[in-house]
Amino acid sequence: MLYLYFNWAECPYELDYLWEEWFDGNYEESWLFTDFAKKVMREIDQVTPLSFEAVESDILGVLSPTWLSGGVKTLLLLEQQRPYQSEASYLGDNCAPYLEELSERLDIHMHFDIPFQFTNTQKAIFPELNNQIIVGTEELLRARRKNYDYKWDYTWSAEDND
Amino acid sequence: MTTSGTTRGLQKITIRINNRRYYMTVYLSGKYTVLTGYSGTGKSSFAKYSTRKSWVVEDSCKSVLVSDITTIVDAYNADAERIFILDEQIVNLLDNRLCGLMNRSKCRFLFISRKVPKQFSVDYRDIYKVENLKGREFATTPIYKDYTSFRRSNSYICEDNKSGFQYFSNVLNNVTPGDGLPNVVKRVGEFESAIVDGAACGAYMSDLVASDNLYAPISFEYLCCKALWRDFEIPDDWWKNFHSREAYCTNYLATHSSQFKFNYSKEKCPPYLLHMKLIPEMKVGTKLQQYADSLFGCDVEEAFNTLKNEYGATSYEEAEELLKYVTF
Repeated sequence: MLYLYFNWAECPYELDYLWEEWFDGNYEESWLFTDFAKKVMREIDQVTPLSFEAVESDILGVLSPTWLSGGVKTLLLLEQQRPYQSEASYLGDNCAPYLEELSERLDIHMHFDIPFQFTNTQKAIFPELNNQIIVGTEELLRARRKNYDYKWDYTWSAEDND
Repeated sequence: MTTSGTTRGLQKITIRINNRRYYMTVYLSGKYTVLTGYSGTGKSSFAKYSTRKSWVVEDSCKSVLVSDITTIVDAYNADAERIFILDEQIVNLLDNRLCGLMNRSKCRFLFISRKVPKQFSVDYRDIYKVENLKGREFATTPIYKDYTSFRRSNSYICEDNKSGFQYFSNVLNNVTPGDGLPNVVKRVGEFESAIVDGAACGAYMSDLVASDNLYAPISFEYLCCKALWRDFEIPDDWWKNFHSREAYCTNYLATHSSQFKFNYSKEKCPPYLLHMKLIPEMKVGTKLQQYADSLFGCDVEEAFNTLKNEYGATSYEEAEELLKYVTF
């Protein structure tokens, strides 16, 4: 199930905003060769894994897996159940179907920081709204607009500059 | 890197990287430009490739990939020719002090991030997405359409609660002060229209587009400048001395309005501006504006100078009073 948080500090896990750096230094060969990993690499990055050190891109040739896109790295980390919170802004909108597939079999905790375009069948639990379950991108985005407070964002606001 | 002309008043600079596999053009139109879009479209690859100088085809400008936040300090001291590229993780680490340094620097910055940082005044027209044109050729296109044409509605929410709100509540019905962009985003569904400053709303734009009828001119001060000076345009190199187009217009209005014997301040809209026709779609306007319209091709400043020379008007109030007795 997908757990969405308006306030990142409400999440039971720590927010991890250096996820790409962590992936680059800690990924394991097995992460690249699961069925799900092969599928997202092919569909999103047009990449085929070759070994621990290399993936083959249709456009850029043979590369290190550290050149995978941020969205694919996030999905691979989510599949490996890393105990950290992720953010909706780590994923491009084209990752939505894979996020739904993953959330059907795993628990994912995510900060709803940008109006991410989920799929129309995506189910999500909002622990801050008494564990209310909301389905579909339109309803999820409406709930975000109503409940999201920009002060909960961990970045500095423009007003602080004055 | 070349300047490839001006479109819609925005300067565009092109970087091309060509290593026979990858070809991408990025437009930098403001001080802060944001590159966003789907995963796997080559945004981060562009950042990595741009540091390989032999692969950059047009390279009269130095681009610097910020791999550490301390590099931002270099931006403060660097010349205006440099472009600093910040990938998503670095953008997340920016704090208020670094933001201040970036605002005061003479360089330009390219954020590669889906989350537009809220501490910067980013124009929504400076947000681009990456598109695959054909094969290995990629290009950037603006992500949002143009929201600068005004349409009448029954209710409005105005981002500003000072001079901008004072003006719009004077010329439109049912205008509510929004008291900042976060509040406008929350309440946008309650009103038919939202009025925001386009030069600063980039970080909130993805939420604001939920409004059916959004009006986002560069800023209220830009509308004032356009109404007062017919040929007013924001110069292409505004970003060398100002952090946003709004700051440029505010400074221009404050320094040039003394010729009309009023001092512009953001706190209180001068009475003269309250009655001006700032939005072209509006029918009313001050007497001086109507007089300027009647003198073919004249702007307000020229009309004022005419009254000053011919009738000795020394302030806008005198000019307005005088025009009550003049047929034109």
